[in-house]
Amino acid sequence: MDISTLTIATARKDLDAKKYSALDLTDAYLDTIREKNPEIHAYLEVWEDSARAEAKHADGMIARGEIHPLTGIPLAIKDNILIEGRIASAASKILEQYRASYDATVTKKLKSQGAVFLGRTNMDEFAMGSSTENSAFGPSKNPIDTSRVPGGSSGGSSAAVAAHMALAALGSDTGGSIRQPASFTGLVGLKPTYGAVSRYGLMAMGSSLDQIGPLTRSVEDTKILFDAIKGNDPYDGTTLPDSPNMSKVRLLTNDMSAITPKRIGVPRSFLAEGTNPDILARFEEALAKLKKAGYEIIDIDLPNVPYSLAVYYIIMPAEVSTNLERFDGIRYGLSVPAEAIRDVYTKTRGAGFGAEARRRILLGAFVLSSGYADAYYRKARAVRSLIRQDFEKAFQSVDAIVTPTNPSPAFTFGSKSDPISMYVEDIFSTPANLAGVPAISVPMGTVVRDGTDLPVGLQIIAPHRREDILFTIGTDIERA
Amino acid sequence: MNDEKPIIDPIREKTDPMSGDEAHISNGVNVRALAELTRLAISDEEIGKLQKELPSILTFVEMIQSVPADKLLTLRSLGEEVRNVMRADENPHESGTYTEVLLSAAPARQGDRIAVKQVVSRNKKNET
Repeated sequence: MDISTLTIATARKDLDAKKYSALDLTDAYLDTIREKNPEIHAYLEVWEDSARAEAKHADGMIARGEIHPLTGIPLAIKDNILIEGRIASAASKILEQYRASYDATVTKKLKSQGAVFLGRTNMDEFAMGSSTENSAFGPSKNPIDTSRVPGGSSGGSSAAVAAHMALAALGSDTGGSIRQPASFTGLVGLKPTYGAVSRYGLMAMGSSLDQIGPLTRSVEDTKILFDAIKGNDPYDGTTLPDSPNMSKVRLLTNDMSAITPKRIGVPRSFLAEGTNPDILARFEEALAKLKKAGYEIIDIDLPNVPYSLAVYYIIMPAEVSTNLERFDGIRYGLSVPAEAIRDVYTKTRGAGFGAEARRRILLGAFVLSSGYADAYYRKARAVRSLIRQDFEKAFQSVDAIVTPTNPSPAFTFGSKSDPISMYVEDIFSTPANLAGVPAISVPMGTVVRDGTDLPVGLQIIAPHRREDILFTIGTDIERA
Repeated sequence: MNDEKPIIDPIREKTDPMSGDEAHISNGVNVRALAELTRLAISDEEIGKLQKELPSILTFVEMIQSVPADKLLTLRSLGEEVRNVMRADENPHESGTYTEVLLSAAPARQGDRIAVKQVVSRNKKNET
């Protein structure tokens, strides 16, 4: 088999046709991992033995005809998603030895389909960063150009899939952490609607923003993985109720054109500033392709969306400082011994958290502190509502909104040491998290840096619960 | 955390938040006080670095102050955007079901309890 051309969809057909076994497939990926991971460092840990056991189990399921879309499909899992009995460290020293005491809901769903877990992937510590340079265990490299970052925070996941060390991967996206790594490595990455996928067993970063989602080689694969992990979960009160499925409604409609997305909005004034000219050129080409595919391209105004980055870098650290309070050296994780309990807290947290985590905890404590919460946190929440309204208004006249996923392609290691220069990476991706709407990144060609073709992504944003629109438009871009 | 002493350290060293001097609102962040509050042991060297970084990040996010107040929604409509979900207090799992698995993650245990250092001091003078 040639794994360089495989997708979940094609592997499914091959496995069902018994062209090769799930064990053969898993072994092929394990071989690639052995060959490439020492350089790329996509995985923090590879589970050869259990992966092979899971593959054999999947072969049994296939033989018995118990076939699900992901039966025998080898996946990589971001290190902040729990798998019972496995270390889940969030790439942090504070959880270096922590073993998950239960399965995340997404893990359970994947296990029930007979998916194969190859290993846990590197990330920025607690999902804070855009490059994996904030991992406590060293960065991952971009397989397309190893002098460059694979994006972040789900950079181990993107590097694993891009280097054919996994057929697909799960990541998490708080402000772009799935879409930006997908864009940097030529993959498809989806941040689902807030509440579409359960976060039970995902380590919380920004609880009003976080979503788990897929990184894959095609839009079709993203849909397959999303369908496998989505759904209401009694263990996550923020999951949305399972309302009548859109696709079922669609089947009842005779006039397909009535619900097919037709109008695509472009917030031009938001895009012009700071975006690399050649990325804007790829973006215009993508718009031309969409026009050719029959879409109407409409200029729209999102007046408050330019505030997104500032709002995000207030709300997110506020939630980070709150969520990371639980790491105190008492119940689990690292514990630095000290005479007084207060010193156990401060020494454990000081030794366990890396520089970016510390920075955001302090920032979050500041914007939440008495006397400043009104000027920062509450004001940011109010502006967030305006951003949400901008999208609601825009979606009255368009079915989707498109932007480049990022203002620039994959950057070289160490080139964004100033925190703000790194934060600006998230300019186009944070609005979807703040508004809770789904967004996908699909490849839209390449730009050249230092003689290397680097992939860049087109971001498509849809109204709440309309991932189907993202898949339709994304597929049209793929085919064009 | 009962060993808390009253927070008297101002988080801001210089600016009065009520002064309305928005252009300088992020000056004078007291990083040491914040580190104390968030229970983070941080080296003097890093404090010095953060003393510059945090104000520059705050200056950047302060662009939201330019959103005119009349555009902002009332707090009531804000409440509708994020809903608090409460689970019914029913069907508890059987006591002890998860005791071992949870204790196995704890740094120190005593029988079926997580062992911790003394939290409340009897002698007020020993408080730090």
